[in-house]
Formats: sequence, structure tokens, C-alpha cells
Amino acid sequence: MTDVLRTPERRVEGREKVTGTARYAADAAREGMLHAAFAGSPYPHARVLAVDTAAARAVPGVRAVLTGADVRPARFGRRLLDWPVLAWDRVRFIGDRVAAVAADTPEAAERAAALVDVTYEELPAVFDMDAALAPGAPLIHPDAADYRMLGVTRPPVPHPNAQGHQVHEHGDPAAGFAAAARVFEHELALPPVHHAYLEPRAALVWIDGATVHVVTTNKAPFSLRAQLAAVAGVAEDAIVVHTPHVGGDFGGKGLSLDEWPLYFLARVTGRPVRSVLRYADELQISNTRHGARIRLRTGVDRDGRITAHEARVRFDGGAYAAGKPIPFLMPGEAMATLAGYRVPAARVEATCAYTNHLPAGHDRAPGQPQNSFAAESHLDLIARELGVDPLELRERNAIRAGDVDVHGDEWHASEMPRVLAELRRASGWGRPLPPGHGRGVALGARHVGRGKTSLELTLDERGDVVVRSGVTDQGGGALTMIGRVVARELAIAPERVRVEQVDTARSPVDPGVGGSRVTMVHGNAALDGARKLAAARDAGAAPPIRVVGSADQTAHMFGSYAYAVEVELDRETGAFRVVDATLVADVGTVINPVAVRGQLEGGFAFGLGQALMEELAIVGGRVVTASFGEYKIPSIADVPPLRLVLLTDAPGPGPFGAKSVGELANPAVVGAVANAVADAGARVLTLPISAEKVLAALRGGAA
Amino acid sequence: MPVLIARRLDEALDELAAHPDTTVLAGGTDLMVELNFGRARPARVLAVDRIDELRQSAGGSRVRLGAAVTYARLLRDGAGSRALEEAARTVGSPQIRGAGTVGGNLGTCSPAGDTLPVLAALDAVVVLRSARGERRVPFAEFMTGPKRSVRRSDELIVAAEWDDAGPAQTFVKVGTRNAMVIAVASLAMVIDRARRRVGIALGSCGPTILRAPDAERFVRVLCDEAGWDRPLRLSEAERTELGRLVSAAARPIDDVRGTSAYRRHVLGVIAGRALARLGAA
Ligand SMILES: Cc1cc2nc3c(=O)[nH]c(=O)nc-3n(C[C@H](O)[C@H](O)[C@H](O)COP(=O)(O)OP(=O)(O)OC[C@H]3O[C@@H](n4cnc5c(N)ncnc54)[C@H](O)[C@@H]3O)c2cc1C
Repeated sequence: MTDVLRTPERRVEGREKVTGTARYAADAAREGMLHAAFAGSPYPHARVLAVDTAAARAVPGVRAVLTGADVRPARFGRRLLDWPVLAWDRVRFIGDRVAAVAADTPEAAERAAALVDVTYEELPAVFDMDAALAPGAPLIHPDAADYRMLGVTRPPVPHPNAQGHQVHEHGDPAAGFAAAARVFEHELALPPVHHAYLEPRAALVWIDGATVHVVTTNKAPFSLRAQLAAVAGVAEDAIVVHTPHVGGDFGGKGLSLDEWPLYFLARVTGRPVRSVLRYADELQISNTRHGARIRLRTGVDRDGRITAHEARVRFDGGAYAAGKPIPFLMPGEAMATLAGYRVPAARVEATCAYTNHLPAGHDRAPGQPQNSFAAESHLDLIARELGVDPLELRERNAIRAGDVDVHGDEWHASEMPRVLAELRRASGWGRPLPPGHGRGVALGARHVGRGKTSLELTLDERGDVVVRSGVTDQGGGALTMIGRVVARELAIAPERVRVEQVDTARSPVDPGVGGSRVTMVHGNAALDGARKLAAARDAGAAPPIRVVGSADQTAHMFGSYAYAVEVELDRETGAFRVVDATLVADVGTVINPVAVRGQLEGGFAFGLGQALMEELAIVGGRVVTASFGEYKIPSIADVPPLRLVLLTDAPGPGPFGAKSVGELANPAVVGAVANAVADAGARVLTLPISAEKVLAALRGGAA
Repeated sequence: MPVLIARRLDEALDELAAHPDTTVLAGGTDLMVELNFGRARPARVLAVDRIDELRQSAGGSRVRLGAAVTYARLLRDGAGSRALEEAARTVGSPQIRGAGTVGGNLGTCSPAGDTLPVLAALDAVVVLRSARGERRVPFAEFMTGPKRSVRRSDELIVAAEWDDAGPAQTFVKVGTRNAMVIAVASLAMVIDRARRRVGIALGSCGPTILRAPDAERFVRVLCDEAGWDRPLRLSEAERTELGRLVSAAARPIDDVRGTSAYRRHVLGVIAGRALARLGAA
């Protein structure tokens, strides 16, 4: 039979989704279900002096009204439990919840929530990350010493308003700067942005005897189970988490918000309680990509080769660190300021600050778009100063096998030079441009996913296979991928493999979707299971044959990519259009050809939004872009055709040599666009690159 | 919440007369947003999108456009105004254009309503009717502030009417993305060569749709000099002057979509371009 991987995949959940029969968390319902609504703070920072719930309780249909006093001392978080389920003594951002209502109808719950009467005493608020980290800044978490950290002890921080802090140094930066022919320094800034997935968070919680059931949009059900066990003080095996289809995630759905108060409401009422977050609340209280201010200083020799690099990275973590799963409580790639380049000596310092903004969390390649925008703009400015073609400068500095990167790690292999050579060819780099046009380049690199999981496979009499996994599918095609890996290994048609996503009671522990992990980890577990099935079958075992496939993916490897983007600029208005784009991506073996293209094209559009228009604008702590009318993401009219070149011959550690693509290619779009606009005449140092900023830059003002 | 789906105009007008607290519903593309955000809680709703008389239009030298004509219909059948068609094309998405109506745009009366600068520049008349009779209000008097008009609660907007102004008219909208966007600034320009009339109106640049009378006068003089039935070739200095006059007419504010300074600037640019294009035709 022909190779399964050569045929474009059919999504296993595709029919359900396009016919509207797919069920999401917001569709879950149970007999006797109540509806929840919440009262949030109107102040960015205030003491809670009193909460009067009498009027709320009097609303017909209201079954329970809980306040901070009822849940104290429950705090939640993915790693650091610093976010009170309901605030009892202090609110830290506009929207921070102080009360939760369960009622017979959503309308009654909303009405009651609006009647919760809270007496506040305003406290000085701090919105700027540098101000928050200054000596004498108002403290946002005076009780931080009491907070629990899941699994690890909290690394020390240099300031009580720091969520996380890291310093890295390798080589001899002082000597490298001394040896440099030129030293350049630039500062760039990015606002927080939102993932803008279609499906808002939703959850349904009920308690059945000793068992707590949760239907959720959380894409990492086992992590939610562990967090809920910690928050509620119940055993993990007394909690069952069901995640149906997830309607988009991009990293945001790793943090649960409503599940915690719903648990307490379900406990006091004895009824199932559901909530569906309004999108306005998604934009006002959920975890965003971190806003950042990044200062880079780089020394280069006469040929533009990097001799030393220094970076100071500041992230706005908002009011809580709860959205961050990694122990350093920073965006994952906080330190990757020159990703994909040879950096012989570096000192990188990154700090994530508490502020009275809405909490930041994980968003597709956390930390990378920020650092990529800064680094790619910085290098482009250096190229222009040196009079070196920007692509040429990148070719000279691209990391090669045997070089060390910005983390001081040596790369044993690098596709980066090949990626750039291919980009030069495929984009027609150097071809003369029409007047008013500009062309920009940016490269990027991302580590492939790591982690471990297991899944169960059963081969029946007919030779068909059922795979049961605890992994969720947030739209990336995880279940389809698993089926195709098994089908290919067993040389059967993909339709003969059924992949079932099961709840936490019926699946081995699973790390969930995230960190570009699924194809690397779940794909390898599926491959392992398929090999075991084949071995047992060949050894004459009688069906049904049941095996557990496992994987522990620890390989250290990167995927590389680069963009060339062309813009057309209107010098009178500052408006510009991206008219052409080329992406060369080193993706290894392709398992889901349609999904790989979808992830890369989607990542391009995603990055384009951040470059062109996305900004969660916050004024005095209030999000003023709290609907998709104001918070703009690209429409199809804003996205040009993307010329996509895949390098598939450098195998990765995934099944059959696959690499990760989900978070590979969104980060560098911002730099490529900024550099193209600069080539057309306007260097803009903050995102998004609005027409207004471009016009200011064209007129020589600050942008 | 009682909802009456009216089929006849008199039935709708009687309902409005009997219940002044009634909220009119056409395509719902504004009203449903208000409901969704909890900003509107209508006591009663009157749906007018099936009233034949509101869906009828008439062309010719006097154009009449029924209030319940959707953008999609108007684009399919023609609107009797090229600028209005250009404006309709920029409204929302195909879904919004399939439901949204010109009457709804007038009913909402937002300074960012895309048809409104066109109706202003055309010197259109808004036809209002109640059980007590009909009023014909020039657009300039119809809109009194942001989301405020002289429409009384017992009146329906039944149509807009204007004199056919010929082909030299255009609508230009500046936004922060290429579709589905609320205007940062917009401009309608009409050069009615037959009637020797110039209309220039600005959207998203003040509390109401603003006319730019000095700029209109300036263009009229240019047309007088060049001859109304001749192409108008604009010098760079004239273009700059027009831009200055249009910018000066605007009264924009700073908001998340743009600063007032940028709005003024960009209005000047698009005015110059609009005239260069219309004049040459
Ligand atoms: C996603 C989206 C994108 C949009 N994009 C644009 C855009 O690009 N440009 C733009 O201008 N607008 C835009 N809008 C706003 C809206 O679509 C327009 O204002 C549209 O013209 C409203 O018409 P409607 O028939 O839907 O009005 P409705 O929502 O039905 O009514 C609007 C208001 O007018 C009143 N009303 C309606 N008809 C009458 C009548 N005959 N007599 C008296 N009162 C009446 C209603 O009571 C209500 O107050 C957008 C809206 C959405 C949701």
C-alpha cells in the first residue's frame, strides 16, 4: 500500500466540526444545573473592606452567593498559587473577582452579581513594569511568602514585585565588547496581546458523592486535576476532568479561571454549576501575551559578526503569575534574545514584573515574539548602519553546527544556513522593488517539544486499532496525527485506526497540549505502541492485543525558519500593505500535510496580527479594547498569499523524523514586517506598526 | 419582551403610536450588539424589515432609497449613488451587509456610520413618518449628536431621498485593517456637475457628520474656473490647500483608533486624492 504520509490527511473530527455536531464545554449540561456569574473589581488596586451580598441573595432564583471569606485561603495557579479564587482582602486588577453567584438562570446570576455591594479602599496602583521594580514601589503581593508552589520551590527574586528573574552569562562579554569594531544599542517595546481563539473559556463542575467532575476548555486536563486537588484539598483520583473539543487555544487554555469558584459553588449548592466566560471577560481578565520592553546591546566586528551581546528584558506579568507553568515564572523563552544566531559571549537578564494589569500567561511561543521583534529589528538596524545587506548579515551570523547560541548551548546540527539560502532563492531577494516598496527579513528558531506520555492501543480481530489517549485536541490535529502514525507503522489505512480521547479517569497521565509537544511526544508514544502491537502480532499473539505505548522525548534540537516580507507603503498616510511573503521552514518529516501548512500559514497570520494591529490597550488599568470591534485581528483581506517552502530532509526526534511546527513560525513575522517597513523608509520600534506610527517615523519623529 | 413583526407600514406606525417605548429592529446588526453587551433592554420590539414600503427604492433624477434596504440589496440593484455603493461595500462583512440597512445606519446615527457622510454630501433628505404624518428632514438637521437625531419615538425612518448627482462622487474610508473596520476617518465628496454643486462631508471626525463648507467653496471656485463640464487638473498647491481646508473642518478626538492629529492629517490627504480622481473624470 502507498505510504500513508503521502496522502493529505482527513481530520478525524472534521465532519463533526463542519456539521455543527461537535460538542464543546459550553454545550455540556446536567439535570438541575445552575449558572454562575461573577462580581469583579472596578479598581486596579484596592483593599476589600466589606462585601454585602444581601441584595444579591434576594434576587429570585439565586441559590448561592460566595465571597472571598467563603473560599479563603484558596488561591490557584499553574505553578505558583497566587491568584485568590475570590479576593478576600485585596483586589489587584480591574475585573479581579470578589464574589460568585449560582442561580437558576444566567440572567438571574448576572443580575445578582451586579448587586453585590463591595466597599473598597483604593491603593496606589502600578502599571509600568520598570516602576513596579523600582525601590519603594507599592507592593502588590505583601503575602507572597505564604504562596504555595506546585512541585518545586520558588526561585528567589530580586524585588517583591518580581514574579520571576533569570540571569545568564557565557563566554567573556566584556572582552567581546572590547574587541568589537562597533557596538549598537536599541530598545523596543510590545503591548500585551490576546490569543483571540474563537471559543471562550467554559466549565461545568458537579460533585457526585466523593467525586468531583469537571468539564472544561482546559487543554491540559491532568494539570488541571493536579491544580484543583491542591486548591480544593481533595485527592487527585477523586477528580475527573473531561475536556471535549477545544475551540482554539494558542496557549491560553492552559489556565483555568472559572473552575475554581464553580467548585465552591457546586459544593455549597450540591448542584452542577456552569459558566461560559463572556468574550469581553476573555479580553479583560484572562491571561494575555506579556507586554515587554527589551533593551539589546550587541558588539560586532568589522564584518558584522557578533562578538558579544547583552540584553535586559522586562515583561509585564500583570497582577498574578498564576498563568505561567514554568518554575521560573517567566514566559518560556524569556532569555532567547538572539535565537538562531551564533553568540560567542552574552549576558542576558530577564525579569517579569507584577503590575496592576490583567495577568499575563502563555501565548503561542511564549516570550519569543517579544524577543524576536527586538532582536530582528536590532540586527536590521545594525545591518543598515554597517551598510551590509540585512540577509547577508544574517547569513554571516546564522548559527552553524558547532557554534554556541545565546544560551551558551552548542548546536550539533543547524539547518539555518540552508534555510537562509533557500529564502534568498525563493523570495527573489535582491530583485529590484517598485517605488514605495520595502523588503524585510527575519529568522527564527524554536526548540522541538519535549515531555513524556503513554497511551493505550488495542488491535482487534479485524486488524483495526483503537487508541485511547488523554491528550486533548485544540484544533491542531493531535488525534489525526496519532492515527496516521499508527496506520503508517502497521501499514494499514488511517480509517482503520480510531483514536479516542478519554477523561482523566480512563487514561494514563498525560501532559496535555503545549510546548510544541504533541507530535514529538504523543506521536512517539503512538509509534512505540504500534511497534509493540506489530511485535505481538508477529509473535502470534491472539487478538485483541492490548499494549501501552510510551515516549519520553528529551532530544535537544531546533527547528529553523525565516521570512522575507514585502510591503507597499503609502508615504502620505503611513498606511502599508504586506504584498508578498515567503516562509522557509525546516519541519522534518511531515505527518499531517494539511495541518502543517495550516499551522505555518496560521502562524503567519497570527504574527501578522501582532505586527499590524493587535494591541490590548490598557488605560489606567482598564482594557479599552474589550471586544473584537476594538481588538482587531487580521481579516483575510489583510493576509497576502504566503509562499511556503518546506525543508523536510533534516529529521527531527518525532515519529519518522518529524519536528514541531505549532509554535515554530509565528514569532519572527513581527520583525520581518518591521524590517520591510523600515526598508520602505519608516523604522517603528514599538508594536503594533500602525499607519500613524509609520507616518511619525517618516517625518522623523519618535515612533 | 413582546416582538411585533410588522408587514404593513400603518400597522407599524400604530404600534409606535400606542407604545412609545418600542424599539425598532431592522437588520439588528447594531441593536443585537447593544443587547449582547447589556446596553439595551428593550421593553418591546417592532421588526420593520418585512414592510414592503420600506424595502422599495426608486431611481431617476430624484432617488429614493427605502430604509429597510440592506447593503447587499443596494449593491446588487444599485443605489442611485456611486459613493453610497462604495460606502456600502466597506460596511462590515458579507454577513453584516446581508442584514444591515441604511435605515439602521440612520437610526443608530453614529459619527462612524459609513453611509452618513454620503447622505450628508448628497444633501439627502431623511423621510420620517408617524401615525400623525410625514416629516422630511435634511440630513444636516437630522443628526444632532453622537447617536442622537431628531427622530421622535413614534416615528419610523421610511426612506432617504436625494437628487441624482451624477458620476463624480466618492467615499473614502481609513481604517486600521482592510475589512470589518470602524472608520478612523472617512470622507464623502460629491461634484454634481449638472447642478454645479459640491458636497464634502466627514465621518468619524466629530460629534456629528461634519460638512466642510470652506473646502466645498474652494472646489466650487476651481470648477467655475475650469468649467463644470471639463476635467479639473489639480495643482500641487491646490491639493494642499484643499487638504488644509478639510483638515480644518474636522473636530476629531483622540481614541484607541487614532489621534486627532492623525485624523486631521489623513482627511487632508484623502480629500486631495478624491478631488484629483473626481476632477479628472
Ligand atoms: C461586525 C459588524 C461590523 C459593522 N461594520 C460597520 C461598518 O463597517 N460601517 C458601518 O457604518 N456600520 C457597521 N456596523 C454597524 C451596523 O451594521 C450598521 O449601522 C447598520 O447599518 C445597522 O443597520 P441594521 O438594519 O442592522 O440596524 P438595527 O441594528 O436593526 O437598528 C439600528 C438602530 O436603528 C434603529 N432603526 C433601524 N431601522 C429603523 C427605522 N426604519 N426607523 C427608525 N429606527 C430604526 C433601531 O431601533 C436601532 O436603534 C457593523 C456592525 C457589526 C456588528
